[in-house]
Amino acid sequence: MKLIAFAKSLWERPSEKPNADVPFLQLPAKVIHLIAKSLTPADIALLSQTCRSMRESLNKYPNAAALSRADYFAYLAGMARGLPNQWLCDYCMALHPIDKRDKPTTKWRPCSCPNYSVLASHRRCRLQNPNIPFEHHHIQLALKYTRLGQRKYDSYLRALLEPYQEWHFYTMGRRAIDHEAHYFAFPRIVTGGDGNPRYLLFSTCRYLGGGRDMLIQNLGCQDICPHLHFRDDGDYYQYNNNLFRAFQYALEPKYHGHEWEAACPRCATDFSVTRRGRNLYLKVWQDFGPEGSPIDLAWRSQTFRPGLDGIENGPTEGPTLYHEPGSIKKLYGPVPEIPTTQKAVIDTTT
Amino acid sequence: MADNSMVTLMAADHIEIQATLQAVKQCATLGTMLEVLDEQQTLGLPIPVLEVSGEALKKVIEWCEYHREDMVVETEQPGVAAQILTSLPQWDTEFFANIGDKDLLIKICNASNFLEIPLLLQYSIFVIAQALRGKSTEEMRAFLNIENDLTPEEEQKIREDNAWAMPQN
Repeated sequence: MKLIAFAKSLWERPSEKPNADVPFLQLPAKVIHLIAKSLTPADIALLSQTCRSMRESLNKYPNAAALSRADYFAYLAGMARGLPNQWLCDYCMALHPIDKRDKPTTKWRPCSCPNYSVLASHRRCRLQNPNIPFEHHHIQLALKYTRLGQRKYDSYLRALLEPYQEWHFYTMGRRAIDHEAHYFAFPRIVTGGDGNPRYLLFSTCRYLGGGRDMLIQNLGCQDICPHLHFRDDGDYYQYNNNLFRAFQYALEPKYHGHEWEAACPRCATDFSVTRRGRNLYLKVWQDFGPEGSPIDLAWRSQTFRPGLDGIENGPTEGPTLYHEPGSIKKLYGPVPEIPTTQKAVIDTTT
Repeated sequence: MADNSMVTLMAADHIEIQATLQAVKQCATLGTMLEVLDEQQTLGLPIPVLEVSGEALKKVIEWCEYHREDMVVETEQPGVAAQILTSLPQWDTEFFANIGDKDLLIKICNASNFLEIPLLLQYSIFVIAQALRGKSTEEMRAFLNIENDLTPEEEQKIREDNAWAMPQN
């Protein structure tokens, strides 16, 4: 009997082999393949790297080297999630190390992308007109550090989410702003309906009337997203969009004090225009999505630069991301106080 | 035996679980077993389910009790579990949300495969896949409780094998 008990104890002794008792690795091959069928090729490539057993189970699936460009971006985005000191570059289709001096509020900033200087002038702008000069990697890193919640990244996270201010707001093109204008932008990480953190931006432009009448042709150019703008380039769409109409209505004396709210039909942008007293206020709420890759629709729909298909994003072509008008404004929550005099801006509402 | 009569199931860890016959018939494996067994000789005896732990079996039966009036999906029906879902019905969403323990979720998936409950298998696969989607390898390991047993050399080889060839600018 003692011998049987001893033999049994040997049999029941916990295995020293790692993962021997892991329930997932005890699933039959058929079930593993059914799970793989519900995953993207990028997910499968990442899952196959978890351990030896998964590598063997999933060896019939293509590895990341055989993925399409779009899937490879998703694969790299998955890799970047697990590497706090790396970010995914859309130009190089590669991961780069972080540089903590690289933050959205610094105009002439260093960047670890080896191709950055070549592209600097083009890459700095999400839109053609001046705006908070952040890029997708700032969003990636802010969302990643928020998810990780590690103290060692706190100061860089604060820098990535620092409010931006422009006390001499100007626009490109032939038409200058004939009024003093101020621009402020407040990035914020908010938990979305699916429980994942999302990068939202509230930006506002304040046009000071001074002692003069405020006319739309004196307000220069304005871009709030790749689809809504008014410019001086004779583009038909500048006169036929929600933004232009909201400015027109807000400037009519009978509508003073009324907040004209609208949304972009092509990307996750809500906005409002209000004339109050002698001043005009443009407020914009935008959703840049959850942690992901720079080719995700949430970012692609918000930048005018061409996507993998080579198509530029503009009023007449490019990607479309629908949203419920007003939902981004609601998700952002209370807006920060906008300073009236030049001082450091702090978002006290978060 | 009437469909509302009670049956006792005995899990691998000898935990006994009561279930209605109708719920048990959701499991094709047990349904077939009941059909071939002599009712007189087996009446009152617990049915052994030796591949499934009591904890997982309890949850599987909870699911089967709720779905006991559903039409039993034929296991021969091609690819029921292979169909890709986009969402779950509300009750099932709550059922999986209340599980909490990730290992238990995987055990339920395994049990539903063993007991041949195509719909539960399909739903549990959906929940596991949802949890893995968009995650890094490290996050997948953490979710699945997998220890990294790859050597640095193997990891280096994987990195090289998975690198996309592209001209460097």
